[in-house]
Amino acid sequence: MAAALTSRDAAPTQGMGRGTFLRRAGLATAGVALGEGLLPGMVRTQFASAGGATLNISYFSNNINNDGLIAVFNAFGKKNGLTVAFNPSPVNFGDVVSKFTTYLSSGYTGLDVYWIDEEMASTFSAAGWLEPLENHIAKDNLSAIGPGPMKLSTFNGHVTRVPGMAGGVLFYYRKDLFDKAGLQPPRTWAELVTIGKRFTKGGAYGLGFAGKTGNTQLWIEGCYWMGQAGADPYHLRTPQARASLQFIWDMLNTHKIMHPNTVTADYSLLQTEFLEGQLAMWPVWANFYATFISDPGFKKKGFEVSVAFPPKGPLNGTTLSDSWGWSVSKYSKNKELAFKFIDYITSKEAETAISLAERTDPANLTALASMPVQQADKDAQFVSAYNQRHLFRPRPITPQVQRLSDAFEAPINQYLNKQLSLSAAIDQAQTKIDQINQNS
Amino acid sequence: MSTSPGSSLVEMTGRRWSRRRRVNRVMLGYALIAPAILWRASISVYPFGRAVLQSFTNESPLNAVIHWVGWRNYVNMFQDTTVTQSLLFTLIFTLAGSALQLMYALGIASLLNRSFRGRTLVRAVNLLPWAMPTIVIATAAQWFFNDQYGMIDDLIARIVPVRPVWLASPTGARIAVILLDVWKNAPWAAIFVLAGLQTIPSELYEAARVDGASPWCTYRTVVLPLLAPLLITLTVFIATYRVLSFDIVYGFTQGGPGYTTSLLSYQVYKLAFTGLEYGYGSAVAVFTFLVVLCITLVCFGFLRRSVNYL
Repeated sequence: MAAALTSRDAAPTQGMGRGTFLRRAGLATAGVALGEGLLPGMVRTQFASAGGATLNISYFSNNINNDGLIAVFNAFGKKNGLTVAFNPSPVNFGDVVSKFTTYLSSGYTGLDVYWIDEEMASTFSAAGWLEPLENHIAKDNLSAIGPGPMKLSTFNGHVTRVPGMAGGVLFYYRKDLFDKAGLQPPRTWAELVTIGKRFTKGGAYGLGFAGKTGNTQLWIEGCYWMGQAGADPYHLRTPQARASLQFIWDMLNTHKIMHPNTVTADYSLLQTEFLEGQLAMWPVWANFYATFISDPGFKKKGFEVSVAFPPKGPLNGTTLSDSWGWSVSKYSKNKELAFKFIDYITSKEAETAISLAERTDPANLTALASMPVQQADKDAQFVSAYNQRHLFRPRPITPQVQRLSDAFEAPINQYLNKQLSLSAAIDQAQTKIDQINQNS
Repeated sequence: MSTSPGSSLVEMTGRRWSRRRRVNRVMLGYALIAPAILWRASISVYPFGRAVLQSFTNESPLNAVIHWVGWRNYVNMFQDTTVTQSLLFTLIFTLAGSALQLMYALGIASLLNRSFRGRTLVRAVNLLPWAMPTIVIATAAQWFFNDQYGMIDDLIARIVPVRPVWLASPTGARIAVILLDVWKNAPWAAIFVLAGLQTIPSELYEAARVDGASPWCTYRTVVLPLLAPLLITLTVFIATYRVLSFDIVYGFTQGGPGYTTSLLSYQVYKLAFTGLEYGYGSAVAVFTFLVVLCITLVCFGFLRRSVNYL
């Protein structure tokens, strides 16, 4: 083709005539168009030869080759004569949000069942991207789920997500370090500071805190600490809000029980620091326990992680609840199969099997309380203990949660980093939050 | 040429026929390239037009009704600290990044232009940073620049007992982003500069040496003027890519601490893809396009002037 195009039609020094140029460009374009037209046809043929319907589901797993997990999915496929294609979700939460938002906003039909958290459930439901599920899921499955997760799965009276995993922020601490120091976990904020100072030496710090912006992690920290003072991240001009933010600032800059890189720390860094013994205490999501114990050095180095009840703040000692669950895309071409799959996967038996395979905490309370799950997964014991004391409270999630969390995070991050005063940070954040709520 | 009426009629008919054939050939050519133009228009022109229209609305999947809001999005943009901070760092990143990249590229190219053993291998190795995906480098850089586990602070600490917390400080984070970008992209620019250096006849260097010019004088008066058109064109590309950079901030700092390392393109992503504010995000995107257009026009103005000067 290249040789043909460098033909004798025009002398190189004189350039090419317009007609010649257009003729050659047209031939090249026709060649490209023909190739593009043929290729997708060839690919389609390859997929079609696999045979049967395919249900595309997403799920997050620390180990995407987990045989136990795959077996649960395949059992549904086998029973219904179809293929369940497992699409692993990205590791990073921000990437999950980006990916799913892009898929749903563009009307992508290639994913039928989405594994999403409460924030995404709220936003996607408000955007009209999720199918109502209440008429397609067994009442037993729905009634076995706690009221908190179900409330955040219901939008305008419709259940748009069925929780499959529920837990919350647990107060993790390095039991081996505490035992070595002869200390007990703190029970109040004051004890937290005192004990934190005991561990802050030689490059190690007392408390982990995710201060990085952009991934809702700082907003989650705000919800956690401010909630214990009776405040929330959307109403910052209250004395309780000021006091709790001031406390966080003091932990970082006055008492120095948090690492100086806290304003850029995310879960990835904190997990490394916690496992390396650079952090003694870290309140974080329950499913991190499975990540801790799967670390190769964990048992080898004699690490021991345990959970205590959250240190009590000025008002209470509650913590955040969280759940992930299954939704069906409005654009799915296999809706009936997707409904059937969710009905199956949220049954007590399936949730127990997934919990045993993945070491996650089932949203089905009967499955959570069952002996096999309690014995196999220590996290389930902690979550049950927190449930018994009614320590979980939901985050203030609205469809605008992504925008609201960004509006909160940037000024508060700058405040913690000593770039803004508390009053300025509160003003900036609250102004933006009010603007978002007004425009929505 | 014949002068008889019959022959002039034949000539006229012949000319008309030849013109018609030419026209048909040209029309055939246009018809053949029409699909490509339509394709190009559909993937470039239509989305651009759609974004411009969208920038004048409050379009969002979270809004039940879409309104025409006029210039409100553009006005809000300049009152929004996150966007103005992003614009500020975009300008700093573009100016500093482009200048450093060009200087670094000139330096690398000058070294690679010399003759030494293993030059071919070194030229290939030089391209490795550019060949690696930016998102991979940016994500790894979070650890490179970490004060506890990072390679960079480890090297510094071996010389002076200091471990800067790069990413916690606004200035440190900005410096880190710019340096990472320069390290990643300068090799690509260096290859172009190297190609330019190799077109300079050796006789000019000889003549300068005979005239008693120092190496620096030769570089300044012979090499740089001859490279000027290439460097200006390269500046357009480098500056444009800097303005449109997204993945380096997305993977490295996510715009933090605060919004100090946020770029305009990253803000567009945050507004449109996580905030679902399509209208407002489109306004910022259109503004970014105008910034790139200004840079391009300024650079081409310089290019025209430098060509005229030469």
